[in-house]
Amino acid sequence: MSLGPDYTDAYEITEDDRKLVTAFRRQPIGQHSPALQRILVKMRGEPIKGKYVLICQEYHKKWALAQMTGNPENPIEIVEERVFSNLEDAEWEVFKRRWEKYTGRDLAE
Amino acid sequence: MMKITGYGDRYSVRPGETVRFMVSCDGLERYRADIVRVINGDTNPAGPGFNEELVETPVNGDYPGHKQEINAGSYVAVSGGASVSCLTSIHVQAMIWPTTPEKREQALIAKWAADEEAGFALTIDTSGCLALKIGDGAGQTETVSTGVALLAREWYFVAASFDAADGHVTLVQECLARYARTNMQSRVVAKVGVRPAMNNGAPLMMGAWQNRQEGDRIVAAAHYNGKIDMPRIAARPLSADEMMVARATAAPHLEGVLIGAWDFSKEIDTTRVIDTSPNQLHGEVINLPARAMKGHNWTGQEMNWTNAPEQYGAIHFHDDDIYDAGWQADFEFTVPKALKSGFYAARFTAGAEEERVPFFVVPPKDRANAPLALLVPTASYMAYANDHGMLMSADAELGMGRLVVLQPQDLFLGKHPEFGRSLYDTHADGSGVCLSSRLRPMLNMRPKYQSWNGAMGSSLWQYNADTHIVAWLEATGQSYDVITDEELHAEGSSLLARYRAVMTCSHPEYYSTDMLDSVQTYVNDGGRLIYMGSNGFYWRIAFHKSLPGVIEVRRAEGGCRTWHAEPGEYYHSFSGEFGGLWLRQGRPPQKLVGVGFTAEGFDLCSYYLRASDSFDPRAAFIFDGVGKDERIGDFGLIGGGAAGLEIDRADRALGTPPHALVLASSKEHTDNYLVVPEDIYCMRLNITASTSPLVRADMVFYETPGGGAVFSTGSIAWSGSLLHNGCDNNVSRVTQNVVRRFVSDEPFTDAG
Repeated sequence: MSLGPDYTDAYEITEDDRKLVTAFRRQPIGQHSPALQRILVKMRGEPIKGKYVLICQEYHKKWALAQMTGNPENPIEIVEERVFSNLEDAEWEVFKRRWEKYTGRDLAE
Repeated sequence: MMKITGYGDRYSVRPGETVRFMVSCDGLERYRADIVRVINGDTNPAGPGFNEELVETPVNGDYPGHKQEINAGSYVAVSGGASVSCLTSIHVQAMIWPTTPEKREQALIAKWAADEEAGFALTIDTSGCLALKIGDGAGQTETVSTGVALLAREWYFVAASFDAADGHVTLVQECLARYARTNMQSRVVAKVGVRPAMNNGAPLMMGAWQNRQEGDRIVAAAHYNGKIDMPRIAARPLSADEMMVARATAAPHLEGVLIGAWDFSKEIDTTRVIDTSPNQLHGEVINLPARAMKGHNWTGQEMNWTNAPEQYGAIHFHDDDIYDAGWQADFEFTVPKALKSGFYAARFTAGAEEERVPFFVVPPKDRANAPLALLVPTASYMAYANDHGMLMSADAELGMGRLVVLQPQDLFLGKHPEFGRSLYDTHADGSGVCLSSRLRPMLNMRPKYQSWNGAMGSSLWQYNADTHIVAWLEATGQSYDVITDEELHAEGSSLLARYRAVMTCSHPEYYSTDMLDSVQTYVNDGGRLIYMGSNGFYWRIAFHKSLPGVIEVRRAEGGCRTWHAEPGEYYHSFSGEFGGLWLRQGRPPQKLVGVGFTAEGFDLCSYYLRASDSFDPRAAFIFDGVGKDERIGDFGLIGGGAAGLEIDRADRALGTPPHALVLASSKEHTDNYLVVPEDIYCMRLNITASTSPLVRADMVFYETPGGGAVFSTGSIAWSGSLLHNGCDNNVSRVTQNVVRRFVSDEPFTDAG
């Protein structure tokens, strides 16, 4: 399994980007402004190790948060019991975690 | 979950014929089997819901569960080699191109019975170095290693000998490339006290050794990843000069010295490997390693192995190759004469566990039971079988424009590499998977299964998405037969000629030459083709000449692809034909269906607006009941619209007939939709939906000179909108209008 290059270094999220967060919250999946798209390319293009994914536990009802390990023998791990009842909530949760990872700032601040 | 898995020996069956089901139960003592007719595999509560009908058959009932294993990994087995079994001294050599030398102990050439630790094995040891392992079968083994790690993806000459006279082992490891400051050559001589027990019951093998034997079945282990070219075996240590002679040509003249000299460039399209020595120790490939692979002597002057087979003497073995899982059958089902043609499955249940193994009941040979045939793209289902893209790819989420959602089947595949991969994946050693078989459980081609790339909503792809079409045909009372790619490949256009109209499914992407010729002939001869999807007729594939249920793709030159074939390996081993896109072979899909792959995106789908051509009187029948400004398909279970996932465009320059009507085009795709790479020569910023006019689905209609016609939707997501509002919607209406006219006796006129 090739872990591939790390594209996340190509753009650094700035404090000025915080104004884009509302638009993501409103529509996490679909058409985005170029500025928001650039942030999402960074976040969604993360390398495989530690990357968030969802595991469907009940069709159309229940999804659990998991992470990819980068280990071909055991590619997915549920790291904590975090379950969502819709995909948009899951997108928001992962967006917040990634925002904090790249900026060191909590979006709730 | 996933405690029951299974597969059938047939994908399509005629009335009176029999399909056998192989089932494995993990920890379940019993399971129930029922035959069901699959009508709608989609569980989405926003749609009409999952729908299957129980079929009363004599095989429905309880069965004892038993676990069955898959022994994946390819190798060559040479059985019946008495001349090898009686050897005391021995010499082996080969050219090798290892791809994962660091992974674990791997057998290159071995006559090794692992359960008795008996025989000899030329290996890559756990340190990634060439080694010779000798076992006397009485508890004593010795291994001699070069101690120099092999470099991945470099050609080496390797040799090892054991001299029974003095117990000397000689190892030679010689890299054909030369790098400064790197140890490229090694020659080791050592004395050992152990004698190899050659008469150990194990066959001579290349690419693995025998772990144990179960009946007449070899359970192999120590699988090697990489290429082997020109393996040889001799009855005594060879001199340096003799080794050079043995590696100089495919059939070296060392009479009385070489016991076996295999030329893997012979009979490439079979499962045989040929020994050019007088002993004729011919072998068989197991689990279909990749053949027609360029050898150590490939010059780069010739790209087509059929023109220079002597440069294509390598076989590339993979530890996750799988052809036939080889399970024992639990039961067999003979299709009753009266059973309606359609989508069926063997349903297995045990408590909360459930699994369905799909099969298709096709009409009796030489007969059609309906004016319309639904052509099921089983070759394309095989191409996607056990897709690992969501488990192995860092850019899956980027491609989807949303978090990747995994199903229990995906998690199971992540832990069970022996179930094999899809034509979208790379092997464990990073090389592209170019062969895919249906003789193994295909866990993602199932009712209920949701695909990571099936867009928001129902998230369906291929098999399960196509059940939307089945549900629609049923709901609207169409009279239809189901036929599949395998009949199309085998029987040709005469199969299609029995039908007034043929309807494709949502994504008929993979076409053999015979399949494409047959559909083209059908259209030329006055057939009516309803192309319900997109990215169809795209990749050329080859079926194996003698093995059932396996296809090959060589991803050559261009196209939207997750791996690409190595330079010089663009020609199929099964057929000798050039691989890659039909577009690159002068047959773009536009020539057949008026449209061809133009863009893809996987988050949301969109809608069409009618174009001026839709008001041409020739197209009036299509839009009967559809308003002039209506948005067509601004609803649906797949991404919320009828236009999306993968989309096709009309293009006169690529062969869209000059009189074709472009009836409607899609609008407002998200920027997750990007132009396909075959349309990009230089990289520019205008390849997204909001910047490129090429990102659109075109709906096309045209008549053919033979009184036939073609209607194309240009979108994979089309079928996801058919069932909306109880099939009372404009996507359903347009489709129904087309079907009604296409199955009628009235010819289309090409006058005018």
